[in-house]
Amino acid sequence: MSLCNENDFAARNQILSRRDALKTLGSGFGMLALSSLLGPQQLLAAATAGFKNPAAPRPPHFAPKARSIIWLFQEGGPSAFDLFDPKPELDRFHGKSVAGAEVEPFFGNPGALMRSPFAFKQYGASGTWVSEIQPHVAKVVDELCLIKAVHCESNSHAPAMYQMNTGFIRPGFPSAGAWTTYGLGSESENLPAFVVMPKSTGIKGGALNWGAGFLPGAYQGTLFRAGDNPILNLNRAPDVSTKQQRQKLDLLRELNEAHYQRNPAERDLEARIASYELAYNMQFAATDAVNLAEESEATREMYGMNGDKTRDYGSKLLLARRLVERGVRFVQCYPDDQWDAHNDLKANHSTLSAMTDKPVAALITDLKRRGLLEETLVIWGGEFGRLPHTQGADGRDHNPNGFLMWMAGGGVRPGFHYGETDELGYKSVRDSVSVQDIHATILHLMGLDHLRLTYLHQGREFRLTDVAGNLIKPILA
Amino acid sequence: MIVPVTNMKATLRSIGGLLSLLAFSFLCLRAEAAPVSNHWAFQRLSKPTPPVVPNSKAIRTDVDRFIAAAQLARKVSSNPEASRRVLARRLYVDLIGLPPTPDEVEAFVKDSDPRAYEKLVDRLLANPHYGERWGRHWLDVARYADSNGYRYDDDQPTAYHYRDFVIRAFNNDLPYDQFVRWQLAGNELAPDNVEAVTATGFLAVGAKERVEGSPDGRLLVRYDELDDLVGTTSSAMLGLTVSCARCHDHKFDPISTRDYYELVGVFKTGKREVRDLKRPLSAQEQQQLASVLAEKIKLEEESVAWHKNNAALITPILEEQQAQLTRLEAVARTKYFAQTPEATEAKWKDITTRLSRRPVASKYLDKDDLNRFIEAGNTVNRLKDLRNGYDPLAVNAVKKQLSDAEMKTLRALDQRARELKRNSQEEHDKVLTYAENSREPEPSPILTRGSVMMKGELTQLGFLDALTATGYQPDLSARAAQPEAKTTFQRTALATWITDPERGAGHLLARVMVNRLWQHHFGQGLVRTPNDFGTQGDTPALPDLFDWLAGEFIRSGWSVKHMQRLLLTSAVYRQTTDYDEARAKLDPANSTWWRRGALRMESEILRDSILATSGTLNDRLYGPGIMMPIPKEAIITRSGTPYPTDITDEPRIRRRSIYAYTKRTVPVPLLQVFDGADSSVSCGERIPTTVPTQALILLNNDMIRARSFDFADRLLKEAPGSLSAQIKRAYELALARVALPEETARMEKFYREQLSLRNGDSRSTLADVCQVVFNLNEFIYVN
Repeated sequence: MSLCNENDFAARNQILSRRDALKTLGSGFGMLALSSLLGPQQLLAAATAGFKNPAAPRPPHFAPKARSIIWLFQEGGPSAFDLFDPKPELDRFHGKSVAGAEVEPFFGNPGALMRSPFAFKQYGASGTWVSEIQPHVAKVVDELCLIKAVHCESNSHAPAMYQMNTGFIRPGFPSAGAWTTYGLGSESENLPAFVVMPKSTGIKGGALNWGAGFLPGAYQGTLFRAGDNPILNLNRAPDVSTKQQRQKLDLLRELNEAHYQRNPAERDLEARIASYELAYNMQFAATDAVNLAEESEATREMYGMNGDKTRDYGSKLLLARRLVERGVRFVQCYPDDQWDAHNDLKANHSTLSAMTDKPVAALITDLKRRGLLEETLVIWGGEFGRLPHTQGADGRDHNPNGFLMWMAGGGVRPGFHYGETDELGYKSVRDSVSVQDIHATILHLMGLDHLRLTYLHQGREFRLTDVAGNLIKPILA
Repeated sequence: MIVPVTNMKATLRSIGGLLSLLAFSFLCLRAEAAPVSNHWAFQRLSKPTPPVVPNSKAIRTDVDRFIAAAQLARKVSSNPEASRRVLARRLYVDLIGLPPTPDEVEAFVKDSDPRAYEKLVDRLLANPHYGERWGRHWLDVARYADSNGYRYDDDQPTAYHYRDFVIRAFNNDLPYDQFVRWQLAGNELAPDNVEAVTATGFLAVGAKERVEGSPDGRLLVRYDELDDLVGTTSSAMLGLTVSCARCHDHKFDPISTRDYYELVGVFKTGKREVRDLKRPLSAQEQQQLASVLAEKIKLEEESVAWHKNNAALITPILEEQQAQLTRLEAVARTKYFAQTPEATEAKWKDITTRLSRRPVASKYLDKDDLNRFIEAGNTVNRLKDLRNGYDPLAVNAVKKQLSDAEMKTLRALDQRARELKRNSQEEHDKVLTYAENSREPEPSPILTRGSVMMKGELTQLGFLDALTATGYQPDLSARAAQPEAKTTFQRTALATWITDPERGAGHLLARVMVNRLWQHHFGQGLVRTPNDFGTQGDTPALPDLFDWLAGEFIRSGWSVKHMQRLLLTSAVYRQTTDYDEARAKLDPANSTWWRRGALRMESEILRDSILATSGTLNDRLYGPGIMMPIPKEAIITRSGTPYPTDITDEPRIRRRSIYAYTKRTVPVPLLQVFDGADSSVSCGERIPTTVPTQALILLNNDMIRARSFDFADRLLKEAPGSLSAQIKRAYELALARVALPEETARMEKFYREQLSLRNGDSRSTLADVCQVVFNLNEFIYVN
């Protein structure tokens, strides 16, 4: 496939004309952010219209299937053949070494092959195999589209995390959430467009996983928490009442407007005046969004809010639903532990399943009954998977060559399985899918063409998918 | 061109799959275009002479002649000179990154010397805070940070010497060509000069994955590190994107894959090295060190005393955990002998020395016992450590038995102990550098499509052909002259080439730096893509001025301060920000610089200005990075050395922001939210964005609140008489101007309203006024 099309020359000319437009306008930066989406005419209009909130909604490239994304990021690397993709050959060859196999574990030598410690059964009309540790997800399995042969480019956590989030194994590139909000803005004026609910003990690779990279900083993810302090610095100081804050903002607006009158050419000043009103509104909107007490007891119970193990992820997912209901574009939720089962896979995956299975199934059920599933793309998966071999006595090492992700809602084909790994689950053998393919597909479902969503940086138009990425057509509904 | 996707998949299916995909990461996307070696930026400098233009107030320097000629052609003219008050604030913020004091403003306003402005420029260029302001700009392009990034994000506690070198280099007006040469090859050029060797930190402060995993994985990590060196050097110094050529000849610029691997070869023999440099101490540092040592002794005494006093508490815990260890060791021993046919006592002894490591112990202990074992080991070690100083984790081990007051004392001591350790002479002398250990170059093969598994032809020493005169040979004379030196001198040859304007890349080096100076003084470069001077970048709006400036830079002996003096004393810099409809129609892009734009302070300068205005800036120069308090909720990383969560707001952290410890995976919220530089790659330009989270932090953050109270206290002290006097003083301190009557009236009205809501708490109410001042657009945007 040629990734370079004949229109490149035209595209280049367009860049030049865009740049000329920028020069003509003499304006600066916010415009640059918009420039890739708008032609010179629109750009002119945008610039002369004064302030544009960087998160203001923008038209997609084509009619989208999904309006929002909830990404259930399973950090650490869950094992496909212990959850959704049983491999009978592993039972057969349990305890045997595979002579001459080219296996590359992350730590030291791979041990013998290891069968799954879990029993599997088929569920739903799709007949999807599900492990005994995912009993709730088993009940909604007909909503899921399993992508069973994903591969990535690193078997080390941070680079693989970076790749799943940004497309690149090195730090410093914009995350998928940043690209999406850069492309589409947000439908919620009073909440951040891109929200991340991380693991409390930290994410490998840290904030660069939801960074804006070279995109304007406005597109970076905002950390969000359940509870009474959902966003950093959201709450007023304890000694400041709402009324006092309002008076302060009124004074500020008056003085800032007078200053703007004296400096009418500086459009940024107007943007900053508006940002204070947005911030003020955000204090109420975010507080309202995290008010999980509004939910019925049945809903709270369904998400696992009453269970010690499920409470954390349950609150995150219930909150995620409330955020997308309010127009937030992109939500990422990490469980409060990781699937990194180097030792005792059975214990690790049982624990993680106990934490996530019930809330995840509840989210799917809840979105569906509210009619939100159609327009919300739910993505489940880690940065890589696990090897079919043992590590130590009973663990499994990292495997980037073939792992499983699933999607639901938002225009993907429910109850469908795509791709296959080999008999042992070591690597992809049929309909293999790269991280860039996943990204291209996510953008497509959101109404964005991954080839056209670009940003000029260091002399070239960068994309989330860089120079790769094919839409995974068979999984589209 | 066709990207071989099928090959990619084949590669993936073949072993391990990780890797060579970088091959694909850097392929440039667009159609093949003929390399353009006649591109303007690759040409040698032309030698324009300043145009002859009619004399006017708008002509103060030769720079103004170029500007005037361009304006004449478009029938526009510059704005008049701004008022002294405006100029004072502009110059102070621009040159030292701090607002002027009211006294300084008044002195300048009243100075009747016709050269008052020039004198102020000179004073500020000589101010030691100048280096902190301008060094920060360079640290952006040098992608400086204090940790390695990636998964472990290991601390680099000795990296800060490079940051200090940069600050000193600006303060001392180190000629720019020497500044560049030292950063590339200081250890070869002047091995006995501590400053020159420290400068090589430029090559050692990039992000780097901890080396682990398979051999190919390790090699990939190494090539990533080398790519960072080639990429940062070319972006920072030459404004070129060379990394594209890692996998493929550059699509647009005349940079080949061979060029790229030649540059890789320049760095490949070297590596990061922490060296003991016995850096000479300044008088100030000596004094600091003496007081640190005294404090350390005192603290040790307190520590011993604390330990003694709490022996009753600690000893049982120690004994209990020690017993636990002994018991578990016996369990492991039994298991070892039971499951190992070839078991011997000697082997077991060997294993016990390594038993504290998780993978070893996991073979002989079940999961629960393993956790107990590790926990007990940690507790024992920490409690033993406690005798030598305060370890916060050790405190955890005994905290249940301690009272709140005891805990507080302990935490304070702990924090102080850590700081002392960082300030000690030992730490001080260790410097992160880049060095070689061999005379023989280790050239790099060309890697086909960037894959470490597809090694091609070996390259030889060479640089970028498009910037090199025909017949140029790399200068290895230093190597011949020093037959004993254990280094290849390849980096010296690179340094010689890159600073040679006639035969090497010196012309581009000068252009790129002159553009950076213009960019930071005027808000935008003459070339508006400061890190991309390639064919995809911008072209200079005023090419004659641009080449003349680059030439002047070289003629001045590469003096940065000379260039800044020239730019700042020009009328084009001194004009107002006034807007004019008629002229805007004639030159809407302001490409002839007929007006000046208001500039938003960078995040560091905003924080520093708040500190200075509140009267609480700790303006100590240099030294180890200071970890800023970061809320626990914002520390979302699993680094090898965790970021502390117990840092408190005290004078020692109220330093200039350039000293804030930069942990790559844990950004400081205030610095990040106002578009701070990402230290992953060279950052030539910060794109200011405006988002509500910025407003939230300035309205609600407890540090900003605390500084508002400090500011209020300052006003109460400096203007004790009346509210109107305090408001007047606030405007002078924060905005360098007199408050208008209507502003004072409005502020007073607000004060009265708040005072009643606050039940007469006048200090808090004044703090509210102060916080509003910090939030004013006029505070953060400088005219």
